Amino acid sequence: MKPLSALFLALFLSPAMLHAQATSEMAKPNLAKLTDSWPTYNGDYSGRRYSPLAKINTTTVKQLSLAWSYRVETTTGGGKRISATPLEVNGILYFTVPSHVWAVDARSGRKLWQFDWASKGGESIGNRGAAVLGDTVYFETEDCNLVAIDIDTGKEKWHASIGNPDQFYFGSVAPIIVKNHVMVGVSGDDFDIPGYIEAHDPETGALQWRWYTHPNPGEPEAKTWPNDEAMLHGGGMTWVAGTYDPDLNLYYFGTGNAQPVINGAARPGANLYTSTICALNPDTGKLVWYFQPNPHDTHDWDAVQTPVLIDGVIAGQKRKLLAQASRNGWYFLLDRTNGKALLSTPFAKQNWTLGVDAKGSPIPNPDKMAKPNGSLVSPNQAGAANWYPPSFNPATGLFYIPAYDAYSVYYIYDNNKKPEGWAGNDRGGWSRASLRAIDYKTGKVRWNHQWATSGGRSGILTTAGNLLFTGDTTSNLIAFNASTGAVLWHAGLDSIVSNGPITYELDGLQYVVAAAGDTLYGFVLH
Amino acid sequence: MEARGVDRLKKRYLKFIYVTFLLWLGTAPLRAQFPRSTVDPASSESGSKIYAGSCARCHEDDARGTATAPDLLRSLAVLHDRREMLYGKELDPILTTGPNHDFKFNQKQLADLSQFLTSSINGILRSGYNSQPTNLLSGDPKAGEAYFNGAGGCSKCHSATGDFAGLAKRYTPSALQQKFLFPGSGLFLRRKVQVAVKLPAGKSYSGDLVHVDDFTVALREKSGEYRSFNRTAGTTVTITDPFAAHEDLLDKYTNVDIHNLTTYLATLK
Repeated sequence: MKPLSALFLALFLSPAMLHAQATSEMAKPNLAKLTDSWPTYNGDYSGRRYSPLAKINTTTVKQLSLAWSYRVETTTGGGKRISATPLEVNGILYFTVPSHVWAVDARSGRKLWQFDWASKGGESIGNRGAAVLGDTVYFETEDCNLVAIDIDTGKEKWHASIGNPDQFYFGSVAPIIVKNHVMVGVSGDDFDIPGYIEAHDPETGALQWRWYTHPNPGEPEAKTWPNDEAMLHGGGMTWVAGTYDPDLNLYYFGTGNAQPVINGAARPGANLYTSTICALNPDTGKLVWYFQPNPHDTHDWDAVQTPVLIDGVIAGQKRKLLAQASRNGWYFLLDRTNGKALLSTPFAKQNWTLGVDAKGSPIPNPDKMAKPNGSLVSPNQAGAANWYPPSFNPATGLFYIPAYDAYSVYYIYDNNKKPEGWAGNDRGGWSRASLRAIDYKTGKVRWNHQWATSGGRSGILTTAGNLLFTGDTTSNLIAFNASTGAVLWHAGLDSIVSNGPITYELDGLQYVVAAAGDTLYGFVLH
Repeated sequence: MEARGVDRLKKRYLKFIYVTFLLWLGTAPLRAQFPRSTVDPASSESGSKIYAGSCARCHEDDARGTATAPDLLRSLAVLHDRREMLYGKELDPILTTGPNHDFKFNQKQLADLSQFLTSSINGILRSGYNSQPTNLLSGDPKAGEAYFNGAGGCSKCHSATGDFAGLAKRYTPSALQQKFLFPGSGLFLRRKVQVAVKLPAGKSYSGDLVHVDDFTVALREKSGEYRSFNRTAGTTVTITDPFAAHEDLLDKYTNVDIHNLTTYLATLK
């Protein structure tokens, strides 16, 4: 090549074009078992957020240093907070805020491309991330579209509707790739609409199936509603990305609160399948089993926290398990082959139950439901846990939760014979935030690190280096000894850690990446 | 054309581009935000009268439907009209020729009706309700007074004739309830959390807590001086929460206690 031609190429080849050359030869990531990348929302299908990487460990973590940072300059609507878990695929990070996607060099933080969706308006409280399959990046928009983007150029391939924004549906969920399905959840509880989950064709965007989070009229579970009108407007949004067991071919996810919110007087019954953990066949969209952590939800607690898949041992027997630390303050351990509860126990302060029923679901105490003159309830509406991702470390056998002990007062504002929408709310409150490590078999607290102040909304990462990474309630990214809870390292950032941290290895170097407000920070061990 | 005229035209053109750009900047964020579908109160009021006269008989006074007529707040046509702010344009054919409908509303009447329905929908959204608790004085004031002086332990720090004299003149019942439950949060006047820091060498500092995490602590002394410290080995940090007694009560209150205490405190005028 002549020197002039080389200079021309060096000057004019865009980062996106160089990226195209690099990725065309790369292999598809394995979503079933996490190795040295982070190719799906939870790292792999299990939801454990546990990486086998160990170069950064309890001995070396003190040498972890900042490699780069990348600040988001564009936003739509509600702020520039990065709550997405970035994906790391073939040396590139992909992450989102509402209506925008970035591809950034995972080694340097250098932008390769930015995709801007022209939103027609939607709730923009957050976007939890993207999915990658082959040469396509997928994400949901706040105005209810699934968008496919060319991974090399950052240009749109197609988009497909995933809901009607007139009805206050909006997109915020990170899609999950399962075989030839793009699994899509929907958000929106301002209004009395039914939740659902969809599978789309990854090549064309065509809808493969939609499963509503309510029974069909006439089915036995429909008797958990007073009538079909209430059931068909009963809520149950699918706010958080699910997990998947390839051997069982089951896709697991939780559903959101029943509608109308807070005031359940006009919907007596358990209100299935709201606030429920569901297992679907991803090829057919058929329900295989369900378990309801939060019957007759009158506190906006949902049951959407990540259903974490654990291959464990109970009473000497190998078991396929599913664990959820639910927003209502209860920890559930299920047999994920059939949904039977093996354990139901509180992991945080809670005062709203009269015990558990024969299936292991908590029994709501009517005295702790909202009242016109107030009902003091624990936890508060933000919950004992929320969307902030937990983690399970198979080496320690500990399940790690961003946990909140909290109280607030719940009021009913609408005593209409047919309340609708937000027929009440909670107010005020007291809260104490902790990082809590519990034994996955018993739910007993093994160690607890109470933060100095309340607040915080950081997810958790654990690694084979016996480390746990998370954010505190101010603006520190902290590494803990995962076994003991001892603080080993920290870095002060510009804002509170606002997503679930990730880790990956490139060129023999292990990185840890976390978002804080509008900035993504990349740390590396040299 | 004279050069000066050309310049003037250029300036006008640039001004037009500039103003257009500013207008675009102003509207872009609005378009992008969750549609709030603003309502003109006068138009909505006129629409409520049209609704009462023509629609309520079948769709109920509050538009939430009856056994024979659908809930208009959940109507896809109405929801579309609201979000796109169509002012009844697409509702007109339904109202004119839809089943059981033969209304002949003019454009203003349609807009007013649309505004009334939009307002009704906005009212049931998360931020829509008039979120004032009601029936707060339904408790037993005598029982509340007994709790204040007995099990609650309130009288150890407060007095009905001392610091609480005229309390109910200063706070609404809903504010009173929140204040005794959660005095450390909300918009009410708060006492500041106190902190004492003792350094390894033995020297101590104290004052209002400014910041604390696992690694640093900062305070403001009575003199107004700001000090911060690393929480190195041997440094002790003692935080005194002035509302600790209130927090302890959260595990003990029954709802009846809360309602009685609210009702009693509301008598302290």
